[in-house]
Amino acid sequence: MSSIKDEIEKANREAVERMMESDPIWVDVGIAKEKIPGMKDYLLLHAGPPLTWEKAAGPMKGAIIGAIIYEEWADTPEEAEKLVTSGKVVLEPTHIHNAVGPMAGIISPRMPVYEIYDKRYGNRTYTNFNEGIGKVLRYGAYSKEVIDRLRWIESTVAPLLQAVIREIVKDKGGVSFKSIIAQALQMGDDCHNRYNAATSLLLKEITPYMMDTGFSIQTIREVYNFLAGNNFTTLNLGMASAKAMTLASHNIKYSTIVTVMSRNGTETGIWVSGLGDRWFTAPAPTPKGVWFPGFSEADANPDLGDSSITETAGFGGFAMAAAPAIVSWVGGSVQIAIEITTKMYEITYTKHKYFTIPYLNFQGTPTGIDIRKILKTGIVPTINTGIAHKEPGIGQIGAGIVSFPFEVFKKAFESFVEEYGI
Amino acid sequence: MVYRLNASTIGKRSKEILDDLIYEPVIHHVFPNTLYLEADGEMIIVTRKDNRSPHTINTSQDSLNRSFQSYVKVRDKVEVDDSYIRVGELEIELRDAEIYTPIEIVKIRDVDDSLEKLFWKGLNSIMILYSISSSCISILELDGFREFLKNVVYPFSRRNVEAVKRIEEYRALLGLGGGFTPSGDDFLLGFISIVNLVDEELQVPKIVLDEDVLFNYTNWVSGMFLKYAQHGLYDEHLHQLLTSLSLRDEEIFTDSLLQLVRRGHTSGLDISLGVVTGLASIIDILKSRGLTEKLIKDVLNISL
Repeated sequence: MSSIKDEIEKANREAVERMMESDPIWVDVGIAKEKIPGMKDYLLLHAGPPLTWEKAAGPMKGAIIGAIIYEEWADTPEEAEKLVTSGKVVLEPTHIHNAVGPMAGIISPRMPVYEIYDKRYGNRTYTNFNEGIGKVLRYGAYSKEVIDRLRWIESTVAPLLQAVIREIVKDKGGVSFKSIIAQALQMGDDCHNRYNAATSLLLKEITPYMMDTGFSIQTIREVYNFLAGNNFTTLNLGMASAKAMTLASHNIKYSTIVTVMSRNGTETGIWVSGLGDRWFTAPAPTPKGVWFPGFSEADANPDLGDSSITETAGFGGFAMAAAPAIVSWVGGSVQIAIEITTKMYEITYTKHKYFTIPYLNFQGTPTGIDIRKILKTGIVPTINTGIAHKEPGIGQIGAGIVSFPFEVFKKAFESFVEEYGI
Repeated sequence: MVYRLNASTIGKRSKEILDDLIYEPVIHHVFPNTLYLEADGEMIIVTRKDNRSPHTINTSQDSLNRSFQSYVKVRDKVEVDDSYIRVGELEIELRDAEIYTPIEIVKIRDVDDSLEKLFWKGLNSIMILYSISSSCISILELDGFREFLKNVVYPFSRRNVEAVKRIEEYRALLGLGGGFTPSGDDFLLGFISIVNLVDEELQVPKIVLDEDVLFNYTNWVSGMFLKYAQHGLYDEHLHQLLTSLSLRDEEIFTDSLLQLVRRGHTSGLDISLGVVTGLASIIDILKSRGLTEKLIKDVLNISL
C-alpha cells in the first residue's frame, strides 16, 4: 500500500511541478509542413481523439472540406469528401503531433502555424492562426469568404508575424506566454473564452516590432486591425502554451494527472500522464450556452475542440472566478463562475504557483486534474467553450459551459488499475 | 412556518416499522441533509441523498435545500400519520413515495477465476483511491485493524473457523478510527456482509455479533448498520456490489464500487475494503489461493 501511495504521490508531484514550471515562449511562425513533426501532404490534423470521416460531426466535416479546398486538393465539397473516404487524405489527432487547434482544430500542411518553445523542458508545440468568430473554418464553415480569409492569413498575416517574432527572438528570446496568461488572469481574463486582456498585452509587445518590419503601413494597419479586432487572437497561442505545460507533465510513470482533455465533436477524449498516449473516450456532451440570434440548443453540435487543454493546464474554465465578465459570453452568473472554480479544487492536485485569482485572495488556480479525485468525488471537470452549428458550413452559434463525461475518467482509472495494480 | 418535503421512496422495512409503530419515534442524530430516527428500537433514516435502503426514506430535492438542523434537534418526538411524518416544523409527505424493496441476492455457492479477478480489480482500485488521502490516518495504519487482520481474518482464511468467533478481537475493531460511522465499523460492515452471503452448504460460519457487543463498543447508528448487515439488509450501493460478486458481473461491480467509495471521507473505501478482504477469505477457505496472505503481507505490509 505505502508503495503505490508513495509512487503516485511522487509522480504527481513531479508532473504538476513540471506543468507549473514549464515556460512556454512564442518563438516562430512557419508553415505547418515545415514546422510540425510528422506533418506531410494530404495529412490533416484535427482536434480531439482519433476520428473517421463516417463518425465526424457536421462542423468537423465542414472544416475538413474547407481545409481540402484551401489546400487546392479539390474544388468542391463532393470532391473533398471523396479524397477523405478514399483514404487519400488522412486524418490524425493534433495532439499526437504536439499541436492543438480550437474547435475543429484542423491544421493542413500549408497553413501557417505558431511555434511555442518550452524554455524549461525543451518541448515545442504548435497551433494554427485564429480567424475570428462566426463563419470560420474551425466552426465548420467553408464558404469563399472563409477560404479567402485563410489565404490572406497565409499571404499577409503570417509573413508579417514571422518577421515580428524573429526580430523579438533576436532581441529578447521570444514572447513569454506564461507571463501573458498570468497577467491576463489578473486583468479579468480566464484565458479560454476571454482573451481580451491577453490580446491587448500581446499587441503591446508586438506592435513596436510590427512598425520596424519594413512592411507597408497599409499592411501593418490591416494586420493590426485584424489582430486587435479579434479578442481570440491569443486563444491559439494560449492553447499551444497550455499544450507545452501539459506535455512537460506527460508520460510520468504512476502519475494520475490528466495531460490532455479534448473533443472532436463526436467524442471526448483524455490522456493521463502515467498511461502515455492512450485515448480514453466517451460520447461528447452538448454544452449549455448563450446563443447567437436565431439559434438554439437544437442547432448545437456536441462539444468540440482542443481548447480544453487550457483547463488541463490550470486556467480557462478552472479560472472563471478571475473573469466575472465572461458570463456575458458563456452564460451563467458570476456566482456560478466562482462556484465552478471553487469546485475544481476538489479534483485537482494543487494550486498554481504563478496563475492566481484576485477575487479568491490571490489563491492559485486549481491545477493538475487527478483522475483518482474525480473517481472518489464524482465531480468532473467543467470548462467553457464555443458552440458550433451541427451542420457543416454554418459556423459558430454560441458559447457555453460543459462538463466532461465521467465515463472517460472511469475508463482511464480502470486502465491505471490494470497497469499499476498488483 | 412548516417546511414540507415529499418522500420519493420509502424502504420496505421502514414502512413496516411505521405501519406497526407502538411508541412515538424520536430523533437520534441530525445532519444538514439526513436524520436518524429511533422507532421501537429500530432505525429509520430520512435523507435528501439518493442512496436507498430498506431503512431509508429518501426525500425529493427542493430549491430551498434548508438544513434539517434548522428545524430538528436530537430527542425531538416524531409525529407519524398514514401519509406523513412530522418533527417540529419539518413535514415529510409519504403518500406518493415508491416502496423500495431490494431484490434478494443469490448466495455465493462456489468460487472461480472470475471472482478472483474481481477481488484483484476491487483491491487495486481501493488501494489506489486510498492513496489520495494524505491528511488523515486511514484504517490501514491503525493497530486495532492490523491486529484484526492477523488474529481473525488470516486464521479464518486458513479454515480456522473459530477465529471469527473471537469476540474480543471485534471489540478492538469496533468504534476504531474517525468518522460518524467509525472506520473499523465500516470495514466490519463490508466483511460481515460478504462472509454472511456464502451459502450455508459451503459451511463457512456466519458472523453474528451480540447486540451487547455492538452497542457497547460503538455508537448507536453504526451499531444498527452492523446489526442490519448481519441480517442481510444493506443500502443500495453495497447491495449492488454484493450482487455483482454473486453474479460475477464486472461492469456492475465497477459501477457499484465507484458509487460506494464516494461515501464519506473514507467510509465507502473502508466498507469496500471489508468486502474484498472477506472475499479473499472466502476464496481461500474454498480454494486455498493464498489471497488473504498476499493482501495482508504484500499489499498492507503486515507481517504475519
